[in-house]
Amino acid sequence: MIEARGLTKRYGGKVAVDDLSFTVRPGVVTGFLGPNGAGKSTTMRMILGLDRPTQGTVLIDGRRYRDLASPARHVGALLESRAIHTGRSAKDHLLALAHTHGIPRRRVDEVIDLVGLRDVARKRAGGFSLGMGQRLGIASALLGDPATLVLDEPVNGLDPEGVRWIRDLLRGLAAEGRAVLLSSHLMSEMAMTATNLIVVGRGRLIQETTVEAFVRGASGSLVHVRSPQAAELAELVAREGATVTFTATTAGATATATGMAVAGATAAAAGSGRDSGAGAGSLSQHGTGSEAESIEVAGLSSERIGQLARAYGIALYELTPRLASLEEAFMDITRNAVEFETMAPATTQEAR
Amino acid sequence: MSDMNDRLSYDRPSHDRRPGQTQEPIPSQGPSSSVATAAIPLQPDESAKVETGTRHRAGHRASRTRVGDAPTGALAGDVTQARVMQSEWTKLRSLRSTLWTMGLAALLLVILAVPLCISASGHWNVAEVRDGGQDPVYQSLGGLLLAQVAVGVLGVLTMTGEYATGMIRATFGLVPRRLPVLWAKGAVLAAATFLVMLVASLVAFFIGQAILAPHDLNATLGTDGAARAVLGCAFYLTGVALLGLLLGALIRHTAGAVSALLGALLGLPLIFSMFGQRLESAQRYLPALLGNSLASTSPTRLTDLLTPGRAFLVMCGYLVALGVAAAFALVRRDV
Repeated sequence: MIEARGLTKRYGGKVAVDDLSFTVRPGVVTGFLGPNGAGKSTTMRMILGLDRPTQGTVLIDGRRYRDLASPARHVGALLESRAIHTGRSAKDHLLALAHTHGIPRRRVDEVIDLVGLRDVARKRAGGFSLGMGQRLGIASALLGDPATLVLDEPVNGLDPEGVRWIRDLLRGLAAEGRAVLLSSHLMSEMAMTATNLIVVGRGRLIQETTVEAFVRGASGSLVHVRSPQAAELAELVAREGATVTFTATTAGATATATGMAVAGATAAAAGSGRDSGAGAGSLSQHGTGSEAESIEVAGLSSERIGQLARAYGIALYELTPRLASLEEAFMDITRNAVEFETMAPATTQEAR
Repeated sequence: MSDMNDRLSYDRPSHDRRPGQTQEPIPSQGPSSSVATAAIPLQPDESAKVETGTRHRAGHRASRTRVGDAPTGALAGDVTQARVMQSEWTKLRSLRSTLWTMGLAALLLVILAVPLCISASGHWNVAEVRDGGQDPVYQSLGGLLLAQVAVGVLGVLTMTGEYATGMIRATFGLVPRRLPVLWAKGAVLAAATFLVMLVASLVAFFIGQAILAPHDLNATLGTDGAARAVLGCAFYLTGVALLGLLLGALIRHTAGAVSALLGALLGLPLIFSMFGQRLESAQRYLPALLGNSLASTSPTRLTDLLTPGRAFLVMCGYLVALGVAAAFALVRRDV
């Protein structure tokens, strides 16, 4: 449980975090979302008592971090820059950390096994790959079996397997009743991992909401579906209250033609209701060449559509939530929030 | 049965933590989904998910990687000074740089006794040694002039190694009051350095005296001040290691802190001597010359040095002053 109230951090004249208030609750993964340079890392360092707030307070389980008698029991942290001495073995690193709280040796072995580093536990951490380093960082964070986890960009630079591992781990930890705060500049990552969402831009709070509400508010929930039995599926999802649009009839078309037709139709659909430029690029079209129709479903999640399709034995060739438009919406929201101050953030966002 | 117990005793703390501290109760949890879906591995509205088979897999993995099953009750105790010292000891012993720098210091101290004493045995006469004009004890411990660089670097690295790698964030994250870390590092470093350097000093002393003995130029541990000089040598080197540690805490960069330390140890005497007579009386207070005072048995009327007792106090004074500055900086600064 983390409560930030009016958190502010100034470096000289520059404001990194500006009057930020939010709550991270137990039992869910809370996403901390914002473009690079939005003040996420600074906020996390203030939570952990590493940086002193210029103004405001942040409480962990009702107390200031500095006043915790046993910090590892309350908070485990993984910070963006790996906090690991490169010359020390993974095991010695964890042992040294464990000693500060009198954590028994068997717990060190336990977390090593948990993150899958047993084979390299005696190797120097300097030789670890990025993924192994992240795993070691997570092992450190879990040492004290903390009630709250704070992770700064934990999936940065990881391969898909590592990303999924962290995602599942965090969800599991939250399901056990822990509070998990997870920062990222990737909306797509948040959509998959987090339940609650804190959106910041330029150090300010933009929204404290749920991923569900944010996604719906930002872009509606539009799902692109391609199926040989599209008409049948359309009827089913319509019965669940969704709105269905037929985008193209592609019976007998070649693979290439299918792809182009769908992409074009999608762009058109996007242009009508939503922010422009959303649809064109991102839908991956690997048409199979078989007869299939495309529909756009609004108001129903892709999971539900998939379940319906399975329940009624409908084959799906494609089931694509409109990811790109989410990213765009997030960019627009954060950009709008900061634009009046300076043009600089817009360029940094583009660079990412 | 025991399995049940494990689960129960684990579950308790995480429930203890919540109700007491949760100031805003459920209503403010917003849309009910946040509570309702907490127990389910994947919420229904994960619209970004493309793979359809993930629900099953995620559930499976979450259960496999359950962290809560293993621990029974409270794993982590409170942070105490003794525990932080144990942690710092683990850190110190588990780095190769410690072995290298400490080993090098010991080696230099011992090895240099050989050429220094061979050279002395050719030039000194017995009378000089008798009246204190030449000091066989300091001659055998002369390697400290180089050994101090090695232990000084070890002291610096003990602190700056953590800043350079980011480890310091993990350290201060676990010990948010920070000062226990500084004290623990100092205590562990001092204890290790003193022990190793005491052994090395003894070995250097005995080797040196063995070389001087055939010429009747040698001292024994029973010689007036000899045992004190050996202890003094180990103390001086320990002091230099601590100066390095504190400079490391203040400057936070290896190169900067090493430069500052070497400047103080080796540079200042040179600069002072360039001023000639005027600063000569002040020169004896320089850290490097405290080493001379502490490790020699020559009477001070002949050497223009501080007495060993005063040198000890001055060294302690430096350490306290620098320690206060480092402690202040450590607590005040962001990491």
